[in-house]
Amino acid sequence: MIERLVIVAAVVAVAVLAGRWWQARQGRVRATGAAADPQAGEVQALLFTTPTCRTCPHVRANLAAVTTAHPGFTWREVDAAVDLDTARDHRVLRAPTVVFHTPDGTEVARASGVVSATAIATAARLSTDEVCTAA
Amino acid sequence: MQPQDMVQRPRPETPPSTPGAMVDVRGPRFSSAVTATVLAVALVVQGPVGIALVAVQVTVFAIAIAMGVARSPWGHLFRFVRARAGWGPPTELESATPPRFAQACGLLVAGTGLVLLVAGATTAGWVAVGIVLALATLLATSGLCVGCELWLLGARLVGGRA
Repeated sequence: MIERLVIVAAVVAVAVLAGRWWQARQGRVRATGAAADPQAGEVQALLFTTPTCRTCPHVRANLAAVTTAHPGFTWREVDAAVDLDTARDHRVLRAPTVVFHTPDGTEVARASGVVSATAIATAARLSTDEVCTAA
Repeated sequence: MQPQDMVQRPRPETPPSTPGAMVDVRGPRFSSAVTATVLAVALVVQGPVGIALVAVQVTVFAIAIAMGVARSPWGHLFRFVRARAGWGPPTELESATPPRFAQACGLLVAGTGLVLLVAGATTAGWVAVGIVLALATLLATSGLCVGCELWLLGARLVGGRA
């Protein structure tokens, strides 16, 4: 009985730690492209979503918040259930994923999980002053 | 339906059977905490009582998939506790599709475990139950739905529309 109790406690502890580690990695923007440093106002974004994605509405709201503050910032949503090929082309493995790119389609950065509006604005080389984060 | 509407103007909780049903975000996490507790007790106790507890949880998963997460026994328990504990109305709503998908993943693994246990493959059966315990703990404590994360990976592997 004690042995089983220890095993169950270990399983729960590992799951909690794995969750913490996963949470810490959420929404971090990583530079991915070797492209030259993009200019302000040049960066656009793609939001990849799936029907089973829990946090996609948050990221959608945050992208919309950046567009509200900076109308020049454009982004497009790609539903992987409808357009799997685009998700494949961009090597997207999970949703939500935001891919930042230049107008010619060159990727400059990407982020998975809940990305804050501030992080989106920073990745798009925009001022974060007027951007309010919804989530 | 405008996607933004889901965030900025949450609608009241709609009947779970309708497409685009919304549930209180705290519901699925509460339910997975109950699930984790039931399976943890089952794993510690084992024997006929443990197997019966796994059977109860498998039934709950099946009801949640058939009738929607809000109408599952743990969904009812969540609303009862929410009313009693004074947690107030939903702070935020989310689509019922991801949690329902998560329940289907739970049913698949826990159901396999139950079949193995009944068939006498005790060790393999409890390992499967342990996997569901870990996944339910992840959803309860971090909001991470592993099954939901695997959807895109699965769709890419299958190749066609999922």
